Amino acid sequence: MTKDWLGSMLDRHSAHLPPRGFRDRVYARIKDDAAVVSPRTLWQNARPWAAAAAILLSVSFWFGWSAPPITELPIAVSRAEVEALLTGVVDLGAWNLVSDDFIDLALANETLGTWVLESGGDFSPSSGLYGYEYY
Amino acid sequence: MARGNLDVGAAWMVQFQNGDDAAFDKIVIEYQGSVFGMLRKTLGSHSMIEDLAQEVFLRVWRARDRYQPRGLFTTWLFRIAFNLALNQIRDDSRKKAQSVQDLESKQGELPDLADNSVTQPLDEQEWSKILDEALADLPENQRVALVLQHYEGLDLAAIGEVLDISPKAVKSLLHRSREKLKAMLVHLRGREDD
Repeated sequence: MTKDWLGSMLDRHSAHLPPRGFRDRVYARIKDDAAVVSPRTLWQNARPWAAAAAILLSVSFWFGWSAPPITELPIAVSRAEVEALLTGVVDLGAWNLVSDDFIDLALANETLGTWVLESGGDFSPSSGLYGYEYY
Repeated sequence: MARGNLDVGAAWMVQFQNGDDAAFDKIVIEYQGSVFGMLRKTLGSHSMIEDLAQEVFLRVWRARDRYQPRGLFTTWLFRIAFNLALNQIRDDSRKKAQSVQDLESKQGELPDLADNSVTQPLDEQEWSKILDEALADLPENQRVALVLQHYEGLDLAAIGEVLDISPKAVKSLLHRSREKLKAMLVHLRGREDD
């Protein structure tokens, strides 16, 4: 384009350069911007989670809608199962458990540092202490 | 910068999208002068120029994920700057009472051209004031079209993309802006080569 007098005149306008430190201030602004989470950004980040929660809630509600009240749920346990449970309870009650105070954990020989459960005790299978030994 | 190929700005923007922050730095270094100059000539001597120029690059940063390299990078960049400038002009017009006071104080600083003899040369500062005033008298779309064409070298199609109008409409805008400026500045003709 041929430059006319207006073009020459417009060329006399100063070259407006950005002030010193402009670039640094752009980065400072970007840093500040990154530190502030706008409500829009917050919503954008939360949107997938909100959608997932809404779907989960809808599906749960839909499943629960047709279900009977929890108090009316049938408990299907057979007679044989009940009898087996009762038998187990009876068996447990019949066990002869060794009480803790029957076991003497005193240090019998302090010099040797050995433990004995019952000095000179009866360790026969019928004594109830079968299997215990000196250590 | 041929259309259809990535211009250098668009290529840097794509690199930036791919995680190269140094490419963003290249964009700032390369285009800071154009953005600042465009805003300065569009808005005149305004206190918000630097703030708006920073905002342009902040928006470029924020657009990292959404940017699509369609058209020239500069048209996209100037479109951001134009929108910000337009918002500022609208914001200023709402504070018109204050603006009138500013304008009156500015006019007081202008050189008294009527008293100048035809042969007296104008210095750079005086030319800047005269041209600022003349550009400010243009409607904003004419002003931006002229600034983008004369100072940034954009063609009609690119200016049309920035202003969101057809190249034909840009041509009309430019014609009107030039005619109006000529009418305002004709009395200074012959002094531009001083």
